[in-house]
Parts: sequence; C-alpha cells; structure tokens
Amino acid sequence: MHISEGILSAPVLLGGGALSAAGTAIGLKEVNGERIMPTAILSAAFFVASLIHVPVGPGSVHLVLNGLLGLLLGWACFPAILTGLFLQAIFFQYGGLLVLGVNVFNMAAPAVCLHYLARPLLRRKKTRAIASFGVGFLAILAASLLMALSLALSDGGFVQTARLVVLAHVPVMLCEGIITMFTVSFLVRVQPEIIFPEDRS
Amino acid sequence: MKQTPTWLLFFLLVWALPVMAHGLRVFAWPEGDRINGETSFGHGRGAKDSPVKVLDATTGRVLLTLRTDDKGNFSFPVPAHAGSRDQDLRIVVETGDGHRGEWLLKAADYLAGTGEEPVPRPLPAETVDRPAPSPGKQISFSEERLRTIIGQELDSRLAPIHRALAREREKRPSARDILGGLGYIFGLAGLAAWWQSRRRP
Repeated sequence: MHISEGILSAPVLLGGGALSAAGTAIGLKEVNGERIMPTAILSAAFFVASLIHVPVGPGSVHLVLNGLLGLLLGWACFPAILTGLFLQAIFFQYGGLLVLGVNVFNMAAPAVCLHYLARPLLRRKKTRAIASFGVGFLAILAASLLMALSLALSDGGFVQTARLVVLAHVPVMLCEGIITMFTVSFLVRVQPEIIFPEDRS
Repeated sequence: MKQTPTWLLFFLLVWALPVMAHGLRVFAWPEGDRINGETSFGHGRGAKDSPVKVLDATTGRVLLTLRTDDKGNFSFPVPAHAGSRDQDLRIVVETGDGHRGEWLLKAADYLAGTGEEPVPRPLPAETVDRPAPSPGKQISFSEERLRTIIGQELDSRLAPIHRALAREREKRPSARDILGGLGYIFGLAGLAAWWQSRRRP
C-alpha cells in the first residue's frame, strides 16, 4: 500500500502533497477537545497495523485500517494517517518522506468519502453490518486504485498496474471488511457515541 | 475510562503483532566472477519474477537487466570491463506494485575475486627483485596466477559471510521503533490538548 521513494514523477509527488495538505488542514479543524484522544489512538492503531502481514502474490501486503479510521474520524483521518505514515516512514522505512503526500492522499481520501457514504447506513440495524464491511473492503479497493493511478501517471500502463495492485490487496480487503464490521458492531453496543458523535448532545 | 473500547481494539492489535519489516530489501554479494543477490520483504518472502536493473552508480547507465527467480534471488556475471573503470554498481529492483529497493555494490567489494583490480596495482618491489626460486620439486606458479587462485578460493569460502553481512544491513522494526512511534503519537496528542486548553478562556 505504500509507494516507495524514487518511483513517482515530480508532478505526481507535488499534486499528492498539495491535496494531502488541504485534507490535513480541514481535518485538523475537526480535531478538538474530546476528539483529540480518539484520533491519537486510531492513529496509533494505524501505525502498528501495518506490521500485520498477509503474505500474497509477488510481494506481501499488510493491514491498513484506513476504512476504519475514515469511518470513525471523518476528515480527521487525514492528520491521523499523516502522522501514522510519517512515523512508519521514519521507523520502519515504509514508503518515504518525499512520497508521503501521495501515500496519505491515496489512503485517506477514499476513507473520507466512505465516511459520508456509510454514515446513514450505520443508523439502521439491517444495513449496519454490510455497510461497515463495505467500508473496510472498499477503502482498500479505492486506495489500491488510487495507488495504481499514481504509479500509472508516472509510468503509464494503468490497467496492468491496477490489476497487480488490486489483486495483491484482495485478502486485505476481506480482512479489513471483517475487522471493520466487528469493530463497528462492538462499538455500537458498548460505546455508541463514538460511531454517532452527534447523539451526544 | 471513557475510551475503553478503542483502547481494547488497540491492544488487541498490538497482541496480534508479528514483528516484520515490509519495505523491499535488496542485497548483493560477490562470489567468484558472479554477483549473487537476494530480495526480501523482510520475512522470508522475496520479490518473485521481478525486474532487476544493474546500473553504473556514477553515470546511471543501465548495464544489465534481468529478472528474479521464483524465490526472489538473482545472479549475474560481473559486467565486462567493470574493473577497468572502477565501476560501482547500483542494483535496483522494482516490483511494479510500488515497491522499490536498491543496493550499492562498491567496485572494491566485488572486483577482489575476479582477478581484475579496481585500480592497476604495481607488484610489490620485493617480488620483482627476489631471486628466481631454487630449482627443486616444487611446481612453479606465476605470482599473478597464485593470487587469482587464492582470491577465487577465498571468495567462495567467504560468500556466506558476505551474504550474512549484506543481510545484517537490513533494518527490522524493533520493539523500540514501535514504542517510539506510539510515544510520538501520544506526545502529539498531548501537545494538541495543551495547545487547545491554552486558547480556551
């Protein structure tokens, strides 16, 4: 899921960086008071989740949890993912500092979109499980497609790259779908205001 | 505690944690007049059937392209004339799904065993001045030939050590890295909380 240093062309790097900076600016406005700690905890979960591997295909892929972060944090997942990826780049040498912007955008943008798409569906009991599974699953699918797109913009050959990247991530999509589903059903029972913060007042 | 569920999720993740690296590593070491290499995602899996480029490290010219085998290993002969130009080799592996790893092989490291010297070295004076070996049963070898034989023999004996040393350079995420990263995240959260509490009346 992390694109390594030295692959992407300069315009792609700059574009990704600008988009991520904008997303982070919006996200930071949402992180206040009560929301600081949940954001930090989820950022920490994102940071360590990348160490859980699913060996598959030519390489190996790992949990990302971007869907879960998007669902629970909304725009605030931008700063959370930025922090997680920055520390992964420094401590684990995943990705890199120059590609940080692109990697953040690829993972956080689908998460924010799915946040807004899935929220209404979580209200109803019938659709809750399938919607939360879908968030986990689609967040990885969309992130893989964005990743293939950023590789293709630098190199050409989107279909080939996309097939490689998406196929490699199918097991992760399933894992994340299940993890997101169980996490949401657990939170709804135990701590519903995390899922529905607007109910608190 | 208010955030119990998220904390719980977080600790579940940490417990499930197999500590593994993920970035693509490339190692190469000389063996006789060949250069052997290995790719690794850090837990025994290599980048299978992926393109390998061998570049001249100073000019960036591509000298050779090959592919890794189904274990992620590769091997190629020392490029011709590499010795005469004291050429450092940059070995780059790109998997096509965003992973990239490289390894720099110094001329001095791989030319030792081939009989070619990185820079033409004059024979030590004493060997030139030494009187001819006394006639006897001993088989006479030219100094150069002997040097080559010993060099080759040493190289094949040392190959496992070269390999081990090359692998040693790989950095794995240690408990210290993980805890350090988590510390940073919660430190940032603390900073954010402090900043916001200051601005509040």
